[in-house]
Amino acid sequence: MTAFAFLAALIVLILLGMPTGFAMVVLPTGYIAFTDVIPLNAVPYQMYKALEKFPLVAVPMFLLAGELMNMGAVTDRLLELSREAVGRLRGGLSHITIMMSILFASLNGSAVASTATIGGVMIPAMKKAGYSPSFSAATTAVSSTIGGIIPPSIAIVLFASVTNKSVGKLFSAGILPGILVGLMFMAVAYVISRRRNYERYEEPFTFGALLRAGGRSILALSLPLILYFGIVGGVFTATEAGAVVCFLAFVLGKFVYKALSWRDCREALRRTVKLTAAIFIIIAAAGPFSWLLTRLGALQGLENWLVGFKDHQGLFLLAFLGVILIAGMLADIVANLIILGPTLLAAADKAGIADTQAAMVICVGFLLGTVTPPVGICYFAAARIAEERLERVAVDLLPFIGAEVLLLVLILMVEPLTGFIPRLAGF
Amino acid sequence: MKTILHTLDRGLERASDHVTSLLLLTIAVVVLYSVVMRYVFLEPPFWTDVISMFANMGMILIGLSITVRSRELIAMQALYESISPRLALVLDAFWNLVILVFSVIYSWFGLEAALNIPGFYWELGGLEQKYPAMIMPLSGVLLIIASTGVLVQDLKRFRTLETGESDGP
Repeated sequence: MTAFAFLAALIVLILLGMPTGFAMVVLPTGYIAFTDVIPLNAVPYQMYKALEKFPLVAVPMFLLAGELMNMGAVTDRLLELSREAVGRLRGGLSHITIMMSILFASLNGSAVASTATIGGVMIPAMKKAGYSPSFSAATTAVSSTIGGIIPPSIAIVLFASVTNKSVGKLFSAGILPGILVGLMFMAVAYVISRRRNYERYEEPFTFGALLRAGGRSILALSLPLILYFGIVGGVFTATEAGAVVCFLAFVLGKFVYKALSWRDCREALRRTVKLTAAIFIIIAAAGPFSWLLTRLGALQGLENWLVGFKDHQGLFLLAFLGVILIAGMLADIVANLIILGPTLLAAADKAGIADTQAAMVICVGFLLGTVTPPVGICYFAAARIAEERLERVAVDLLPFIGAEVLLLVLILMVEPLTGFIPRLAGF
Repeated sequence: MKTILHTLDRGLERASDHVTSLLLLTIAVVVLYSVVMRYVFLEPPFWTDVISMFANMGMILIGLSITVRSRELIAMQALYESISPRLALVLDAFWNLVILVFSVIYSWFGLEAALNIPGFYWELGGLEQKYPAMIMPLSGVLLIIASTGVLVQDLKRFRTLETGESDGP
Protein backbone atom coordinates (compact mmCIF):
# COMPACT_ATOMS: atom_id res chain seq x y z
CA MET A 1 0.00 0.00 0.00
CA THR A 2 2.80 2.40 0.97
CA ALA A 3 4.58 1.54 -2.28
CA PHE A 4 1.47 2.48 -4.27
CA ALA A 5 1.25 5.76 -2.35
CA PHE A 6 4.86 6.55 -3.30
CA LEU A 7 4.28 5.61 -6.94
CA ALA A 8 1.14 7.76 -7.01
CA ALA A 9 3.08 10.63 -5.40
CA LEU A 10 5.81 10.27 -8.05
CA ILE A 11 3.28 10.39 -10.88
CA VAL A 12 1.56 13.44 -9.37
CA LEU A 13 4.88 15.27 -8.96
CA ILE A 14 5.85 14.47 -12.56
CA LEU A 15 2.46 15.57 -13.89
CA LEU A 16 2.76 18.80 -11.91
CA GLY A 17 5.94 19.54 -13.83
CA MET A 18 8.63 18.71 -11.28
CA PRO A 19 11.83 17.61 -13.05
CA THR A 20 11.61 13.79 -13.20
CA GLY A 21 15.04 13.09 -11.71
CA PHE A 22 14.46 15.32 -8.71
CA ALA A 23 10.93 13.96 -8.18
CA MET A 24 12.46 10.47 -7.98
CA VAL A 25 15.12 11.43 -5.46
CA VAL A 26 13.06 13.71 -3.22
CA LEU A 27 10.64 10.88 -2.29
CA PRO A 28 13.24 8.44 -0.88
CA THR A 29 15.01 11.37 0.80
CA GLY A 30 11.75 12.31 2.53
CA TYR A 31 11.06 8.68 3.46
CA ILE A 32 14.50 8.22 5.03
CA ALA A 33 14.37 11.60 6.79
CA PHE A 34 11.01 10.80 8.42
CA THR A 35 11.47 7.10 9.18
CA ASP A 36 15.18 7.16 10.04
CA VAL A 37 15.57 3.58 8.76
CA ILE A 38 19.07 4.24 7.42
CA PRO A 39 21.38 7.27 7.55
CA LEU A 40 20.49 10.01 5.10
CA ASN A 41 23.93 9.81 3.48
CA ALA A 42 22.66 6.64 1.77
CA VAL A 43 20.84 8.87 -0.77
CA PRO A 44 23.93 10.59 -2.26
CA TYR A 45 25.87 7.34 -1.90
CA GLN A 46 23.30 5.37 -3.92
CA MET A 47 23.17 8.13 -6.55
CA TYR A 48 26.96 7.99 -6.82
CA LYS A 49 26.99 4.20 -7.08
CA ALA A 50 24.26 4.27 -9.75
CA LEU A 51 26.61 6.34 -11.93
CA GLU A 52 29.79 4.39 -11.16
CA LYS A 53 29.45 2.00 -14.12
CA PHE A 54 31.81 1.91 -17.08
CA PRO A 55 29.19 0.77 -19.68
CA LEU A 56 27.26 4.01 -19.04
CA VAL A 57 30.16 5.97 -20.55
CA ALA A 58 28.85 4.79 -23.94
CA VAL A 59 25.82 7.10 -23.65
CA PRO A 60 27.62 10.48 -23.90
CA MET A 61 29.79 9.03 -26.67
CA PHE A 62 26.73 8.11 -28.78
CA LEU A 63 25.13 11.48 -28.06
CA LEU A 64 28.31 13.34 -29.04
CA ALA A 65 28.64 11.30 -32.25
CA GLY A 66 25.02 12.20 -33.11
CA GLU A 67 25.63 15.90 -32.44
CA LEU A 68 28.77 15.93 -34.60
CA MET A 69 26.99 14.11 -37.43
CA ASN A 70 24.05 16.45 -37.23
CA MET A 71 26.22 19.56 -37.36
CA GLY A 72 28.36 18.02 -40.10
CA ALA A 73 25.65 18.31 -42.79
CA VAL A 74 24.72 14.63 -42.59
CA THR A 75 21.01 15.40 -42.17
CA ASP A 76 20.84 17.07 -45.61
CA ARG A 77 22.43 14.03 -47.25
CA LEU A 78 20.03 11.63 -45.53
CA LEU A 79 17.11 13.81 -46.64
CA GLU A 80 18.28 13.64 -50.26
CA LEU A 81 18.74 9.85 -50.11
CA SER A 82 15.33 9.31 -48.46
CA ARG A 83 13.63 11.51 -51.06
CA GLU A 84 15.14 9.56 -53.92
CA ALA A 85 14.29 6.21 -52.32
CA VAL A 86 10.73 6.65 -51.01
CA GLY A 87 9.60 10.18 -51.90
CA ARG A 88 7.53 9.03 -54.89
CA LEU A 89 5.04 7.08 -52.77
CA ARG A 90 1.75 8.81 -51.96
CA GLY A 91 2.47 10.94 -48.89
CA GLY A 92 6.11 11.14 -49.95
CA LEU A 93 7.25 13.53 -47.23
CA SER A 94 5.85 11.32 -44.46
CA HIS A 95 7.78 8.34 -45.88
CA ILE A 96 10.89 10.49 -46.10
CA THR A 97 10.42 11.40 -42.42
CA ILE A 98 10.13 7.72 -41.46
CA MET A 99 13.09 6.65 -43.57
CA MET A 100 15.18 9.52 -42.23
CA SER A 101 14.30 8.39 -38.72
CA ILE A 102 15.56 4.89 -39.51
CA LEU A 103 18.80 6.27 -40.98
CA PHE A 104 19.22 8.91 -38.29
CA ALA A 105 18.48 6.30 -35.61
CA SER A 106 21.45 4.34 -36.80
CA LEU A 107 23.62 7.39 -36.20
CA ASN A 108 22.24 8.76 -32.98
CA GLY A 109 20.13 6.38 -30.91
CA SER A 110 18.06 8.94 -29.05
CA ALA A 111 14.33 9.29 -29.75
CA VAL A 112 14.13 12.87 -28.44
CA ALA A 113 17.15 13.94 -30.49
CA SER A 114 15.52 12.39 -33.59
CA THR A 115 12.25 14.25 -32.97
CA ALA A 116 14.00 17.57 -32.51
CA THR A 117 16.39 17.17 -35.45
CA ILE A 118 14.11 15.56 -38.03
CA GLY A 119 11.02 17.42 -36.82
CA GLY A 120 12.83 20.74 -37.19
CA VAL A 121 13.47 19.99 -40.87
CA MET A 122 10.47 17.88 -41.90
CA ILE A 123 7.47 19.29 -40.01
CA PRO A 124 7.66 22.78 -41.59
CA ALA A 125 8.25 21.12 -45.02
CA MET A 126 5.23 18.82 -44.56
CA LYS A 127 2.99 21.67 -43.44
CA LYS A 128 4.07 23.72 -46.44
CA ALA A 129 3.23 20.80 -48.76
CA GLY A 130 -0.33 20.64 -47.43
CA TYR A 131 -0.08 17.94 -44.75
CA SER A 132 -2.09 18.65 -41.62
CA PRO A 133 0.12 19.85 -38.73
CA SER A 134 -1.23 17.05 -36.53
CA PHE A 135 -0.28 14.33 -39.05
CA SER A 136 3.15 15.93 -39.56
CA ALA A 137 3.76 15.96 -35.79
CA ALA A 138 2.40 12.44 -35.30
CA THR A 139 4.57 10.96 -38.09
CA THR A 140 7.70 12.64 -36.77
CA ALA A 141 7.08 11.76 -33.12
CA VAL A 142 6.24 8.12 -33.66
CA SER A 143 8.99 7.45 -36.18
CA SER A 144 11.54 8.82 -33.72
CA THR A 145 10.90 5.77 -31.52
CA ILE A 146 12.73 3.72 -34.16
CA GLY A 147 15.84 5.46 -32.80
CA GLY A 148 15.47 3.49 -29.59
CA ILE A 149 15.17 0.14 -31.39
CA ILE A 150 17.73 0.17 -34.20
CA PRO A 151 21.36 0.07 -33.03
CA PRO A 152 23.06 2.07 -31.60
CA SER A 153 20.16 2.61 -29.20
CA ILE A 154 20.81 4.44 -25.95
CA ALA A 155 17.77 2.71 -24.42
CA ILE A 156 19.36 -0.67 -25.18
CA VAL A 157 22.74 0.40 -23.76
CA LEU A 158 21.05 1.46 -20.51
CA PHE A 159 18.96 -1.70 -20.36
CA ALA A 160 21.98 -3.93 -21.02
CA SER A 161 23.93 -2.08 -18.35
CA VAL A 162 21.32 -2.60 -15.58
CA THR A 163 20.55 -6.20 -16.52
CA ASN A 164 24.14 -7.32 -17.26
CA LYS A 165 23.20 -8.43 -20.78
CA SER A 166 25.41 -8.21 -23.85
CA VAL A 167 25.00 -4.89 -25.68
CA GLY A 168 25.96 -6.57 -28.95
CA LYS A 169 23.32 -9.27 -28.52
CA LEU A 170 20.56 -6.76 -27.76
CA PHE A 171 21.70 -4.48 -30.60
CA SER A 172 21.42 -7.48 -32.94
CA ALA A 173 17.96 -8.27 -31.56
CA GLY A 174 16.77 -4.75 -32.41
CA ILE A 175 17.58 -4.77 -36.12
CA LEU A 176 14.59 -6.73 -37.53
CA PRO A 177 11.96 -5.17 -35.23
CA GLY A 178 13.34 -1.72 -36.07
CA ILE A 179 13.09 -2.28 -39.82
CA LEU A 180 9.69 -3.96 -39.47
CA VAL A 181 8.19 -1.13 -37.44
CA GLY A 182 9.55 1.36 -40.00
CA LEU A 183 7.73 -0.53 -42.79
CA MET A 184 4.56 -0.70 -40.68
CA PHE A 185 4.67 3.06 -40.11
CA MET A 186 5.14 3.61 -43.85
CA ALA A 187 2.12 1.42 -44.57
CA VAL A 188 -0.01 3.42 -42.10
CA ALA A 189 1.25 6.72 -43.56
CA TYR A 190 0.48 5.48 -47.09
CA VAL A 191 -3.11 4.55 -46.23
CA ILE A 192 -3.76 7.88 -44.50
CA SER A 193 -2.06 9.83 -47.31
CA ARG A 194 -4.15 8.13 -49.98
CA ARG A 195 -7.34 8.89 -48.06
CA ARG A 196 -6.36 12.53 -47.56
CA ASN A 197 -4.81 12.83 -51.02
CA TYR A 198 -1.46 14.10 -49.79
CA GLU A 199 1.33 14.92 -52.27
CA ARG A 200 4.18 12.85 -53.63
CA TYR A 201 7.56 13.71 -55.19
CA GLU A 202 6.72 14.12 -58.89
CA GLU A 203 10.15 13.99 -60.57
CA PRO A 204 10.64 10.73 -62.51
CA PHE A 205 12.71 8.05 -60.79
CA THR A 206 16.22 7.38 -62.09
CA PHE A 207 18.74 4.91 -60.72
CA GLY A 208 21.45 7.49 -61.36
CA ALA A 209 19.89 10.00 -58.95
CA LEU A 210 19.41 7.30 -56.31
CA LEU A 211 23.01 6.12 -56.68
CA ARG A 212 24.31 9.70 -56.53
CA ALA A 213 22.33 10.34 -53.32
CA GLY A 214 23.55 7.03 -51.91
CA GLY A 215 27.13 7.89 -52.80
CA ARG A 216 26.88 11.24 -51.03
CA SER A 217 25.65 9.52 -47.84
CA ILE A 218 27.72 6.36 -47.96
CA LEU A 219 30.47 7.52 -45.60
CA ALA A 220 27.96 8.72 -43.02
CA LEU A 221 25.98 5.49 -43.28
CA SER A 222 29.11 3.39 -42.89
CA LEU A 223 29.68 4.72 -39.35
CA PRO A 224 26.82 2.76 -37.73
CA LEU A 225 28.04 -0.35 -39.54
CA ILE A 226 31.53 0.12 -38.09
CA LEU A 227 29.93 0.60 -34.69
CA TYR A 228 27.62 -2.42 -34.93
CA PHE A 229 30.12 -4.87 -36.40
CA GLY A 230 32.82 -3.57 -34.05
CA ILE A 231 30.67 -4.39 -31.03
CA VAL A 232 29.20 -7.64 -32.34
CA GLY A 233 32.59 -8.83 -33.59
CA GLY A 234 34.09 -8.27 -30.15
CA VAL A 235 36.53 -5.67 -31.51
CA PHE A 236 35.21 -2.86 -29.30
CA THR A 237 33.10 -2.48 -26.20
CA ALA A 238 30.05 -0.24 -26.69
CA THR A 239 31.94 2.67 -25.08
CA GLU A 240 34.98 2.19 -27.30
CA ALA A 241 32.78 1.94 -30.38
CA GLY A 242 31.11 5.20 -29.34
CA ALA A 243 34.49 6.96 -29.01
CA VAL A 244 35.70 5.60 -32.37
CA VAL A 245 32.51 6.78 -34.09
CA CYS A 246 32.86 10.21 -32.41
CA PHE A 247 36.36 10.49 -33.87
CA LEU A 248 35.22 9.34 -37.33
CA ALA A 249 32.20 11.68 -37.23
CA PHE A 250 34.56 14.54 -36.40
CA VAL A 251 36.95 13.65 -39.24
CA LEU A 252 34.03 13.24 -41.65
CA GLY A 253 32.33 16.52 -40.72
CA LYS A 254 35.53 18.56 -40.43
CA PHE A 255 37.79 17.26 -43.19
CA VAL A 256 35.63 15.32 -45.68
CA TYR A 257 32.31 17.19 -45.75
CA LYS A 258 34.02 20.40 -44.52
CA ALA A 259 30.82 21.43 -42.78
CA LEU A 260 31.98 21.36 -39.16
CA SER A 261 33.63 24.46 -37.70
CA TRP A 262 35.51 24.54 -34.38
CA ARG A 263 32.63 26.57 -33.00
CA ASP A 264 30.27 23.73 -34.03
CA CYS A 265 32.50 21.21 -32.22
CA ARG A 266 32.42 23.35 -29.08
CA GLU A 267 28.64 23.63 -29.35
CA ALA A 268 28.34 19.85 -29.86
CA LEU A 269 30.31 19.30 -26.65
CA ARG A 270 28.15 21.75 -24.69
CA ARG A 271 24.88 20.28 -25.97
CA THR A 272 26.06 16.76 -25.21
CA VAL A 273 27.01 17.72 -21.64
CA LYS A 274 23.56 19.22 -20.99
CA LEU A 275 21.67 16.32 -22.54
CA THR A 276 23.83 13.76 -20.73
CA ALA A 277 23.33 15.49 -17.38
CA ALA A 278 19.57 15.70 -17.95
CA ILE A 279 19.42 11.94 -18.68
CA PHE A 280 21.86 10.86 -15.98
CA ILE A 281 20.16 12.68 -13.10
CA ILE A 282 17.31 10.24 -13.71
CA ILE A 283 19.75 7.30 -13.74
CA ALA A 284 21.34 8.55 -10.51
CA ALA A 285 17.94 9.13 -8.88
CA ALA A 286 16.82 5.65 -9.89
CA GLY A 287 19.36 4.32 -7.35
CA PRO A 288 17.61 5.62 -4.20
CA PHE A 289 14.14 5.24 -5.75
CA SER A 290 14.76 1.56 -6.58
CA TRP A 291 16.03 1.11 -3.03
CA LEU A 292 12.77 2.59 -1.73
CA LEU A 293 10.60 0.35 -3.92
CA THR A 294 12.65 -2.71 -2.98
CA ARG A 295 12.39 -1.87 0.72
CA LEU A 296 8.63 -1.51 0.42
CA GLY A 297 8.47 -4.82 -1.45
CA ALA A 298 6.97 -3.28 -4.59
CA LEU A 299 9.41 -4.69 -7.14
CA GLN A 300 9.32 -8.19 -5.66
CA GLY A 301 5.52 -7.91 -5.45
CA LEU A 302 5.31 -6.96 -9.12
CA GLU A 303 7.56 -9.86 -10.12
CA ASN A 304 5.53 -12.34 -8.02
CA TRP A 305 2.28 -11.03 -9.46
CA LEU A 306 3.52 -11.46 -13.03
CA VAL A 307 5.06 -14.87 -12.36
CA GLY A 308 1.68 -15.93 -10.92
CA PHE A 309 0.36 -15.95 -14.52
CA LYS A 310 3.21 -18.04 -15.94
CA ASP A 311 1.08 -21.17 -16.35
CA HIS A 312 -1.38 -19.25 -18.51
CA GLN A 313 0.82 -17.89 -21.31
CA GLY A 314 -1.88 -15.62 -22.75
CA LEU A 315 -2.65 -14.01 -19.41
CA PHE A 316 1.03 -13.59 -18.65
CA LEU A 317 1.68 -11.82 -21.96
CA LEU A 318 -1.34 -9.59 -21.40
CA ALA A 319 -0.21 -8.65 -17.89
CA PHE A 320 3.40 -8.23 -19.03
CA LEU A 321 2.45 -5.92 -21.91
CA GLY A 322 -0.08 -4.11 -19.73
CA VAL A 323 2.49 -3.27 -17.04
CA ILE A 324 5.00 -2.06 -19.66
CA LEU A 325 2.50 0.10 -21.53
CA ILE A 326 0.99 1.63 -18.38
CA ALA A 327 4.41 2.29 -16.82
CA GLY A 328 5.59 3.73 -20.16
CA MET A 329 2.66 6.14 -20.17
CA LEU A 330 3.25 7.28 -16.60
CA ALA A 331 7.01 7.63 -16.20
CA ASP A 332 10.09 8.54 -18.14
CA ILE A 333 11.71 5.82 -20.26
CA VAL A 334 15.09 6.05 -18.50
CA ALA A 335 13.48 5.67 -15.07
CA ASN A 336 11.35 2.78 -16.28
CA LEU A 337 14.26 0.94 -17.89
CA ILE A 338 16.42 1.19 -14.80
CA ILE A 339 13.82 0.60 -12.10
CA LEU A 340 11.39 -1.82 -13.74
CA GLY A 341 13.62 -3.31 -16.46
CA PRO A 342 15.45 -5.91 -14.32
CA THR A 343 12.23 -6.96 -12.53
CA LEU A 344 10.30 -7.41 -15.78
CA LEU A 345 13.17 -9.32 -17.37
CA ALA A 346 13.36 -11.65 -14.36
CA ALA A 347 9.59 -12.30 -14.54
CA ALA A 348 9.79 -12.99 -18.29
CA ASP A 349 12.69 -15.37 -17.71
CA LYS A 350 10.65 -17.34 -15.16
CA ALA A 351 7.76 -17.48 -17.65
CA GLY A 352 10.10 -19.01 -20.24
CA ILE A 353 10.37 -16.03 -22.61
CA ALA A 354 13.74 -15.63 -24.36
CA ASP A 355 15.83 -12.73 -23.05
CA THR A 356 16.07 -11.02 -26.45
CA GLN A 357 12.27 -11.14 -26.88
CA ALA A 358 11.63 -9.81 -23.39
CA ALA A 359 14.32 -7.12 -23.70
CA MET A 360 12.91 -5.85 -27.01
CA VAL A 361 9.33 -5.81 -25.71
CA ILE A 362 10.45 -3.89 -22.63
CA CYS A 363 12.50 -1.35 -24.62
CA VAL A 364 9.91 -0.86 -27.41
CA GLY A 365 7.03 -0.75 -24.90
CA PHE A 366 8.71 1.91 -22.79
CA LEU A 367 9.69 3.82 -25.95
CA LEU A 368 6.02 3.94 -26.87
CA GLY A 369 5.58 5.99 -23.71
CA THR A 370 7.64 8.77 -25.31
CA VAL A 371 4.82 9.39 -27.82
CA THR A 372 1.79 8.89 -25.58
CA PRO A 373 0.21 11.38 -23.21
CA PRO A 374 0.63 12.34 -20.41
CA VAL A 375 4.44 12.17 -20.25
CA GLY A 376 5.43 11.55 -23.89
CA ILE A 377 8.43 13.78 -24.46
CA CYS A 378 8.59 13.22 -28.26
CA TYR A 379 4.84 13.81 -28.52
CA PHE A 380 5.15 17.20 -26.84
CA ALA A 381 8.28 18.13 -28.78
CA ALA A 382 6.69 17.31 -32.16
CA ALA A 383 3.40 19.05 -31.29
CA ARG A 384 5.36 22.13 -30.26
CA ILE A 385 7.38 22.19 -33.49
CA ALA A 386 4.16 21.75 -35.52
CA GLU A 387 2.37 24.39 -33.39
CA GLU A 388 -0.62 22.07 -33.13
CA ARG A 389 -3.03 21.26 -30.32
CA LEU A 390 -2.01 18.17 -28.34
CA GLU A 391 -5.36 16.39 -28.64
CA ARG A 392 -5.32 16.63 -32.47
CA VAL A 393 -1.82 15.16 -32.59
CA ALA A 394 -2.98 12.40 -30.21
CA VAL A 395 -5.79 11.43 -32.62
CA ASP A 396 -3.39 11.20 -35.58
CA LEU A 397 -0.97 9.20 -33.46
CA LEU A 398 -3.50 6.42 -32.77
CA PRO A 399 -3.02 4.34 -35.96
CA PHE A 400 0.76 4.51 -35.58
CA ILE A 401 0.55 3.49 -31.93
CA GLY A 402 -1.69 0.60 -33.01
CA ALA A 403 1.06 -0.52 -35.41
CA GLU A 404 3.68 -0.36 -32.66
CA VAL A 405 1.50 -2.38 -30.27
CA LEU A 406 1.09 -4.93 -33.07
CA LEU A 407 4.89 -5.06 -33.29
CA LEU A 408 5.08 -5.81 -29.55
CA VAL A 409 2.66 -8.71 -29.99
CA LEU A 410 4.65 -9.98 -33.00
CA ILE A 411 7.90 -9.83 -31.02
CA LEU A 412 6.30 -11.94 -28.30
CA MET A 413 4.74 -14.40 -30.74
CA VAL A 414 7.52 -14.76 -33.33
CA GLU A 415 10.80 -15.53 -31.55
CA PRO A 416 13.06 -15.39 -34.67
CA LEU A 417 12.17 -11.72 -35.06
CA THR A 418 14.52 -10.95 -32.17
CA GLY A 419 16.46 -14.21 -31.99
CA PHE A 420 17.55 -14.81 -35.59
CA ILE A 421 20.19 -12.10 -36.02
CA PRO A 422 21.74 -12.60 -32.53
CA ARG A 423 22.12 -16.32 -33.36
CA LEU A 424 23.57 -15.42 -36.76
CA ALA A 425 26.04 -13.12 -35.01
CA GLY A 426 27.10 -15.97 -32.72
CA PHE A 427 25.37 -14.98 -29.46
CA MET B 1 27.68 43.78 -4.11
CA LYS B 2 25.05 42.71 -6.63
CA THR B 3 27.53 43.18 -9.50
CA ILE B 4 30.24 41.19 -7.72
CA LEU B 5 27.83 38.30 -7.11
CA HIS B 6 26.67 38.43 -10.71
CA THR B 7 30.27 38.41 -11.99
CA LEU B 8 31.16 35.49 -9.71
CA ASP B 9 28.09 33.60 -10.86
CA ARG B 10 28.93 34.15 -14.54
CA GLY B 11 32.53 33.14 -13.89
CA LEU B 12 31.40 29.94 -12.20
CA GLU B 13 29.01 29.18 -15.04
CA ARG B 14 31.76 29.59 -17.63
CA ALA B 15 34.22 27.56 -15.58
CA SER B 16 31.68 24.70 -15.22
CA ASP B 17 31.03 24.91 -18.93
CA HIS B 18 34.73 24.63 -19.81
CA VAL B 19 35.44 21.90 -17.25
CA THR B 20 32.54 19.69 -18.37
CA SER B 21 33.42 20.08 -22.06
CA LEU B 22 37.01 19.19 -21.22
CA LEU B 23 35.86 16.13 -19.25
CA LEU B 24 33.75 14.95 -22.19
CA LEU B 25 36.71 15.41 -24.50
CA THR B 26 38.89 13.54 -22.00
CA ILE B 27 36.53 10.54 -22.12
CA ALA B 28 36.70 10.40 -25.91
CA VAL B 29 40.50 10.80 -25.99
CA VAL B 30 41.20 8.32 -23.17
CA VAL B 31 38.91 5.65 -24.66
CA LEU B 32 40.41 6.16 -28.14
CA TYR B 33 43.89 5.96 -26.62
CA SER B 34 43.04 2.58 -25.07
CA VAL B 35 41.77 1.27 -28.45
CA VAL B 36 44.93 2.44 -30.22
CA MET B 37 47.21 1.02 -27.52
CA ARG B 38 45.42 -2.33 -27.65
CA TYR B 39 45.36 -2.81 -31.42
CA VAL B 40 48.38 -0.86 -32.64
CA PHE B 41 50.89 -1.25 -29.81
CA LEU B 42 49.40 -4.45 -28.30
CA GLU B 43 49.73 -2.89 -24.83
CA PRO B 44 46.24 -2.24 -23.44
CA PRO B 45 46.42 0.27 -20.59
CA PHE B 46 44.69 -0.80 -17.35
CA TRP B 47 43.73 2.65 -16.07
CA THR B 48 41.62 4.01 -18.95
CA ASP B 49 38.27 2.49 -17.87
CA VAL B 50 38.47 4.02 -14.39
CA ILE B 51 39.62 7.41 -15.67
CA SER B 52 36.87 7.60 -18.31
CA MET B 53 34.28 6.49 -15.75
CA PHE B 54 35.35 9.25 -13.33
CA ALA B 55 35.45 11.81 -16.13
CA ASN B 56 31.90 10.77 -17.01
CA MET B 57 30.73 11.05 -13.40
CA GLY B 58 32.42 14.42 -13.00
CA MET B 59 30.92 15.68 -16.24
CA ILE B 60 27.44 14.57 -15.19
CA LEU B 61 27.54 15.87 -11.63
CA ILE B 62 29.05 19.24 -12.59
CA GLY B 63 26.93 19.36 -15.75
CA LEU B 64 23.82 18.97 -13.63
CA SER B 65 24.26 22.50 -12.28
CA ILE B 66 24.53 23.80 -15.89
CA THR B 67 21.35 21.96 -16.83
CA VAL B 68 19.52 23.38 -13.78
CA ARG B 69 20.77 26.86 -14.65
CA SER B 70 19.62 26.59 -18.28
CA ARG B 71 16.32 24.98 -17.15
CA GLU B 72 16.84 21.99 -19.44
CA LEU B 73 16.00 19.21 -17.00
CA ILE B 74 13.61 16.56 -18.31
CA ALA B 75 10.17 17.55 -17.03
CA MET B 76 6.53 17.46 -18.11
CA GLN B 77 5.48 20.82 -19.53
CA ALA B 78 1.88 20.06 -20.51
CA LEU B 79 0.37 21.53 -17.33
CA TYR B 80 2.27 24.78 -17.79
CA GLU B 81 0.52 25.37 -21.10
CA SER B 82 -2.93 25.19 -19.55
CA ILE B 83 -2.48 27.40 -16.48
CA SER B 84 -1.91 31.12 -16.10
CA PRO B 85 1.67 32.44 -16.51
CA ARG B 86 1.65 33.61 -12.89
CA LEU B 87 0.69 30.15 -11.57
CA ALA B 88 3.22 28.52 -13.89
CA LEU B 89 5.90 30.80 -12.50
CA VAL B 90 4.90 30.01 -8.91
CA LEU B 91 5.03 26.30 -9.64
CA ASP B 92 8.38 26.64 -11.39
CA ALA B 93 9.79 28.64 -8.47
CA PHE B 94 8.49 26.02 -6.03
CA TRP B 95 10.28 23.19 -7.85
CA ASN B 96 13.46 25.26 -7.89
CA LEU B 97 13.07 25.78 -4.14
CA VAL B 98 12.69 22.00 -3.68
CA ILE B 99 15.84 21.49 -5.76
CA LEU B 100 17.66 24.05 -3.61
CA VAL B 101 16.62 22.31 -0.37
CA PHE B 102 17.59 18.93 -1.80
CA SER B 103 20.95 20.36 -2.93
CA VAL B 104 21.72 21.47 0.63
CA ILE B 105 20.91 17.97 1.95
CA TYR B 106 22.82 16.38 -0.92
CA SER B 107 25.99 18.41 -0.40
CA TRP B 108 26.02 17.96 3.40
CA PHE B 109 25.29 14.24 3.42
CA GLY B 110 27.28 13.76 0.23
CA LEU B 111 30.38 14.96 2.11
CA GLU B 112 29.56 12.55 4.93
CA ALA B 113 29.05 9.70 2.43
CA ALA B 114 32.29 10.50 0.58
CA LEU B 115 34.35 10.56 3.79
CA ASN B 116 32.99 7.13 4.77
CA ILE B 117 33.67 5.35 1.47
CA PRO B 118 36.28 2.67 2.21
CA GLY B 119 38.84 1.11 -0.14
CA PHE B 120 41.17 2.34 -2.85
CA TYR B 121 41.73 2.07 -6.61
CA TRP B 122 44.71 -0.10 -7.51
CA GLU B 123 44.45 1.18 -11.11
CA LEU B 124 45.21 4.70 -9.90
CA GLY B 125 48.21 3.90 -7.72
CA GLY B 126 46.21 3.13 -4.58
CA LEU B 127 44.14 6.33 -4.61
CA GLU B 128 41.59 6.20 -1.78
CA GLN B 129 38.01 5.89 -3.08
CA LYS B 130 36.85 8.77 -0.91
CA TYR B 131 38.78 11.35 -2.96
CA PRO B 132 37.00 10.90 -6.31
CA ALA B 133 33.74 10.69 -4.32
CA MET B 134 34.31 14.30 -3.18
CA ILE B 135 32.61 15.20 -6.47
CA MET B 136 29.34 14.65 -4.51
CA PRO B 137 29.67 17.61 -2.11
CA LEU B 138 31.29 19.70 -4.86
CA SER B 139 28.40 19.12 -7.24
CA GLY B 140 26.00 19.74 -4.33
CA VAL B 141 27.53 23.19 -3.76
CA LEU B 142 27.37 23.98 -7.49
CA LEU B 143 23.72 22.88 -7.46
CA ILE B 144 22.98 25.17 -4.50
CA ILE B 145 24.46 28.12 -6.39
CA ALA B 146 22.67 27.22 -9.64
CA SER B 147 19.28 26.65 -8.02
CA THR B 148 19.62 29.86 -5.98
CA GLY B 149 20.37 31.68 -9.23
CA VAL B 150 17.28 30.35 -11.02
CA LEU B 151 15.16 31.03 -7.94
CA VAL B 152 16.31 34.67 -7.95
CA GLN B 153 15.48 34.81 -11.67
CA ASP B 154 12.02 33.40 -10.92
CA LEU B 155 11.42 36.07 -8.29
CA LYS B 156 12.54 38.79 -10.71
CA ARG B 157 10.24 37.40 -13.42
CA PHE B 158 7.41 37.26 -10.91
CA ARG B 159 8.00 40.89 -9.95
CA THR B 160 8.08 41.88 -13.65
CA LEU B 161 4.83 40.01 -14.22
CA GLU B 162 3.23 41.74 -11.23
CA THR B 163 4.42 45.17 -12.41
CA GLY B 164 3.33 44.42 -15.98
CA GLU B 165 -0.15 43.45 -14.81
CA SER B 166 -0.60 46.45 -12.51
CA ASP B 167 0.60 48.78 -15.30
CA GLY B 168 -1.77 47.25 -17.79
CA PRO B 169 -5.17 48.63 -18.79
